[in-house]
Amino acid sequence: MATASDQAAFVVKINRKTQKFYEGLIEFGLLCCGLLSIVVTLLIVGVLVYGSLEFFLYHDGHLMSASQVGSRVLYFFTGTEWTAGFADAKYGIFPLLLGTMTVALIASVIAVPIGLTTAVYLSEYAPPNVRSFAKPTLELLAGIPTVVYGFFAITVITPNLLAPLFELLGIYLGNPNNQIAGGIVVGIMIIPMVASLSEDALRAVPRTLRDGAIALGATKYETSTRVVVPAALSGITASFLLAVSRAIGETMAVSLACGDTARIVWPNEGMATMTSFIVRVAKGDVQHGTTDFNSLFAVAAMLFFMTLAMNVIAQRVMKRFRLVYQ
Amino acid sequence: MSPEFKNSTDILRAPLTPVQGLIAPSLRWGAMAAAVVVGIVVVLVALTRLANGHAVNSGHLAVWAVGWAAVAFLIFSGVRLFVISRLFADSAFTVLGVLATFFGLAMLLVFFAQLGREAYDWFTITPQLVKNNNAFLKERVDSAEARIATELAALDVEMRMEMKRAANDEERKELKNIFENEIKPDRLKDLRTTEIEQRLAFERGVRTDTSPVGLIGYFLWNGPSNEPQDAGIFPALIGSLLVSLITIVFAVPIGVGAALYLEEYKSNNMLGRLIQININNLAGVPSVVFGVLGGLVFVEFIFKPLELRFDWIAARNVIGGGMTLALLTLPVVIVSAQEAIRAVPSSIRQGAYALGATHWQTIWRQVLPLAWPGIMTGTILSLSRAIGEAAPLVLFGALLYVNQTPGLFTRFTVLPMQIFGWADRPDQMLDGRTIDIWRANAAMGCIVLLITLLGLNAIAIVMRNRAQKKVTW
Repeated sequence: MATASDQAAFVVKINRKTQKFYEGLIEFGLLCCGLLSIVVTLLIVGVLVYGSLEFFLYHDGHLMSASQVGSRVLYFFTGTEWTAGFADAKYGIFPLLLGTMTVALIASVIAVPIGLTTAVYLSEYAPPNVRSFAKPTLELLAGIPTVVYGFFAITVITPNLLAPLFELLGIYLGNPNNQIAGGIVVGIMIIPMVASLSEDALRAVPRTLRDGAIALGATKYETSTRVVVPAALSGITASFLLAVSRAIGETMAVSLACGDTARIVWPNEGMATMTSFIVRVAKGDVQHGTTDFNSLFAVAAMLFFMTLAMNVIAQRVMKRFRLVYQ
Repeated sequence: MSPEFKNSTDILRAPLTPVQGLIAPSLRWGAMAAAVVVGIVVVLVALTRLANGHAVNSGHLAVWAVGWAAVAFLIFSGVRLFVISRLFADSAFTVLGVLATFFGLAMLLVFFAQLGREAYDWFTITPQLVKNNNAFLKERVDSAEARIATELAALDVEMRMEMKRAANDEERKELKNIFENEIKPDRLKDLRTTEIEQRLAFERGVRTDTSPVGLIGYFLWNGPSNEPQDAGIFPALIGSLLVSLITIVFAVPIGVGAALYLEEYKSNNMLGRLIQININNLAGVPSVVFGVLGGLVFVEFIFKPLELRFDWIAARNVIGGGMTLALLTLPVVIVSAQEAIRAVPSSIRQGAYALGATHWQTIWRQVLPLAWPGIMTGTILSLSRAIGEAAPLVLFGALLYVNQTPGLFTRFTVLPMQIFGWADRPDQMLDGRTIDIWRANAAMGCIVLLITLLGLNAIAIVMRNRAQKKVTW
């Protein structure tokens, strides 16, 4: 009884159905792509927790007693000696933490003023042609591989910049490894990040605020420093936090510039950082499954949670900033 | 306010010129501050030197102090003027801004100059080392006959000594027999083998071409070596290209897919927001942590079991390294693809829907082609990152000595790792002076890396621009 038109309607219906099915399939595929990022995060946390547990619970493959586990955990967070790789090794994270923090501090001393000045200049002062030249320059700076920065530290900064200065002062300078050179190159490395994120924050400040300040007789400098920068302060803070978290996670440059000896010294000598310790363990012939190797996971977990905390705080701060002007 | 105004009636006097009111007071202030600060620093320097057991040269110190006092005077006067004069502050900040903006560029120029110097060193030292090595190899081959003769003579002497010590004729005869028929031929055979090996080493190792072009060619086409002059970068270069290829192959489709899901499907529900927040956080995870992830998941859990079953798969291979870098660059790709997709005007989508296109047809035929140039930008960024990033690959054993040309499933090393390995090696002695020949190698490696980076970026940018020309709306 099927007429030709009925048949045509039937075909269309089938097509609609398969089409709908395909559309759903594609959406599911794209969802999987999106979910992969969550899977990666979970994998990272899983791997770090798994490895850290192995480090805290086992000693060279043997399960330790509860008191031993307790003392290892306690020493990890409170101990002041890190002697992985030696006989009767001690695992107190403080020296590695100190090395990392020294680098991050010196880097922010370099990057924060320079980056902020750059941001204010580019957003408030610079004529369009200077801007269009300066922005790619900063991107170039951000695109240089970090190992090249490390090479920069040991061939230029330490021997040609710091050595004469320290010679003059008569203070010993670790050559080629010292924390100051590492901090300086990491600082140079994160300038583009501070500059571009702060500039975004500054440009998001409404024009009316600037007009108001100028109408009241303020100079451009006063407008920038007393009106625009305070208004964008949360965005700028977020950029600092993100840059510092980048400095904490920086690996190759720091491994080259600071070396990998875990110890507590002044910054004129080289100290291992958390990242350079990971590199040392990974590049050497440390057996998988030994306590020395597993300590890598505990250090990586520390690194991960520190940077994660800074990123989360930065995003919170940035969100608050966005709420004010929208 | 300027110190010229002591009390309220002073303002009734004739107005101050800029020199009286601004410049003179700031110069006075600067001079005072410079004197105080440089004085303190001089005392401190002298004390630190004394405390560390160095001699203090007072004349030298005085010259130094005067020089720095002049610099400090200028700086402090400027700072004071900056503080007391609003207009000066305004114009001075422009100068400061330019200085800060181009500080990084200046540093880079300094570094490139140093790279150039190291490369020059490389071009001057390497031929010397090659010649020394050639001479050494040739000398070893030429003196082979003489050395064999002396060795045999020494053996003869030994035989005579032994025979003198022997008790009777029979023993002597036996000894002679052993020496002539066993020890001597054995030794001679050993020596001949060594000679042949040395001759082969000579034929293989002697390098006639020490022109700059020949040196670069050798450097680019050979693998690592324990001799600094024979070290080359070929496996690392190929490794870098392969790894970044794998990275792109994995990161771009997945990244674009995730971006499409976030922008075109579920941008504002719970799941979408969760994914978005997660991507932002993932972008801040240190690269070495990704290495730890890849080292455990790809190496230990996936490729180690495969290595045991198939002998053409290495546990630490290019695929695993590339996938690790793909995970690392995924956030960059996703965020830039999202921006590109967001920039496509919604009128395009509505037009497609009005013509009866389905959601996916709209995306595939309209949105993606228009967003493609922007997606390419993200790809370029991730490509640069994948080539320059080495930290995660440390956990793939990329720092160890790799001499084979990498395939997809073999062990590998990459350019940054090779540079890292060279830069870390100690200096060498040549003709009584220390030279940084390994460091010069590292500098050459840096140059190759930067040129590779530049070349790939240039290709990608040209491709993007061609794609951009096709986009019209």
